[in-house]
Amino acid sequence: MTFNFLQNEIDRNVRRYVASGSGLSGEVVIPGNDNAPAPNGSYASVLLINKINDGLAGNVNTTAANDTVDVATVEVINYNYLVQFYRSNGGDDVQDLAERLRIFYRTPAGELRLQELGLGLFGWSDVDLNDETIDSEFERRASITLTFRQALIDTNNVAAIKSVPIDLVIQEDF
Amino acid sequence: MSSCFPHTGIITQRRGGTRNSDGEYIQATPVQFNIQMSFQPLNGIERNNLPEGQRKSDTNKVYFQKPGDLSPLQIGTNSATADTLTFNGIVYLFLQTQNWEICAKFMKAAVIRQNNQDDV
Repeated sequence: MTFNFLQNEIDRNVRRYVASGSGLSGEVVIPGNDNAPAPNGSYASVLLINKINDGLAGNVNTTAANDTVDVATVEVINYNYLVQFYRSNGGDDVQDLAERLRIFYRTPAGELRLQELGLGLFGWSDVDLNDETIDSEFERRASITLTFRQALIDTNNVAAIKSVPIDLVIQEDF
Repeated sequence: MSSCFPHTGIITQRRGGTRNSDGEYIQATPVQFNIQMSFQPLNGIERNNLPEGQRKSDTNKVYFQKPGDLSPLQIGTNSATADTLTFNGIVYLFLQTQNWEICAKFMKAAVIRQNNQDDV
């Protein structure tokens, strides 16, 4: 059984997409759940919050060598990634970063980046404002959920049935 | 002086972790210090002063002389950044510190066991 991608690779590629789309450097686009100190200054976190599987999986059969058949079981999955932006550093506000990320898919650079990373952007949420009070001062925060669609393909090689001999015997004398 | 500090421990400090271009955290190389110390259980008042959730935990105190190049101890419960003390193969995180170096030439610190609280 082989899968055509691993979850860690998708997570990493989504972080790369967020870095390109928001204009933040890759070092400050971090996994949303790692046990490590937060970066200084403005940063973003990316966390897979759920996977939606809509519908049944399908099988695609392809004839292979040595009387076998490759059966590819294809399942379409939607990945919802919560992207949160923290702290404005005088320059871009967190809302600007989130809006820029939302529209990035339609720009030529964004289309190319999605193709490079093997991602399919399928939808997006509103930009939510989640300002928090930290040490009696407001910290600017904004979040947006991006939905990516991927096909999960599980390929199996099975023996083919070339022909089935059938002997027909008619019994007349009961 | 060594008779006051009969136990041997290792303090591990991690400073200056970085992130790679994919935003993944890379821990800094740990720096270790061998220390002579006195390792004791907390008394009742000290245990009562702990946050509520930690009173039932395996918490202890250590008295030791600070090595010259030891950075200020970083306390906390985040094992990626907090300094740790290893004693008898068990890892403890530093919870509280008191520096009595100026008047009494020692430091006092409270430590909490990092893993396997139920083990004896």
